[in-house]
Amino acid sequence: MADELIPRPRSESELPSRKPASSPRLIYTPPIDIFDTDDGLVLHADLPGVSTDTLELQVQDNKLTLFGRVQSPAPPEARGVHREYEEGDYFRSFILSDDVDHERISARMSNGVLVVTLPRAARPAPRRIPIDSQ
Amino acid sequence: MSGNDPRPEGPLKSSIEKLRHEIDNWFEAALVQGEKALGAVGLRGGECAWVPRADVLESDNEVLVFLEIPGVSPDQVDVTLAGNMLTIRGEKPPAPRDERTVGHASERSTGKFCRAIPLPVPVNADQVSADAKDGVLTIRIFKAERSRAKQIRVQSGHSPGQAID
Repeated sequence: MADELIPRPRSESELPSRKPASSPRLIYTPPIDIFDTDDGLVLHADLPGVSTDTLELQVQDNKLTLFGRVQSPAPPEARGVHREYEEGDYFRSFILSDDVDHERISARMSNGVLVVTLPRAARPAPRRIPIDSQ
Repeated sequence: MSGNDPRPEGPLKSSIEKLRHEIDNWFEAALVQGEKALGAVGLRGGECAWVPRADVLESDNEVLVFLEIPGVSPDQVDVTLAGNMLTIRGEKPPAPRDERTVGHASERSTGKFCRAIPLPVPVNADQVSADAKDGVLTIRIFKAERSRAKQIRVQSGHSPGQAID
């Protein structure tokens, strides 16, 4: 089923437990592109303000979760004149299909864009099952 | 279940349909007006596919502009300051793909972007720096001497008529 290949966005209620409860911060859903290539699925996510150090990417069971913490580049003494976004972090999770090879998932960050490559596991060759006669 | 159908029938239904249609029209009109307005101030032309989000902050001596441009390499950004208008242009390349690629989701804005930001105070055009990191462009512009914050000493006044409380 082609549909099962697509990582499906999950609800935003499942936030990572590591999030500190002290200061309530906004959680944004980052925009993503997902496409199929010969080698597998490729996911691009826009995460401006997130660095490799502040990004957590994990696969558990068949769920891929990304959590990117944004550190404000603004000095504390600066006052907002015109603000279009409140500071917040990025969260999104996806259900992976069974044919993604979890061991070979790779990711890199460049200019605030996360690129995750999800290679397909090689399908086992069909095997003939001999039937014993009694 | 057909007896419990919550959808109204008859004249009520037609008036709700009419209202819905009316609201749709409003939204469409607002959208068209908004795009016209954006076009008028130069934010949206044929060449700008998207407009990045910006924050403008002010410290005592500087104006700071933060622009979210993930996926744009620093050498593809063009920052110009003309008078008090800061203009940022650039291009965000789309995710690489060929004819065999099958897309499943395409939510990211790509292509040419532009943004014009009027600065809140007079600035010194000779003291501008721009720096891109993790998809956030930071532009620092020093304020013009006359618009910087100055400490004013408060003297203990004995002059009559100056008491505030």
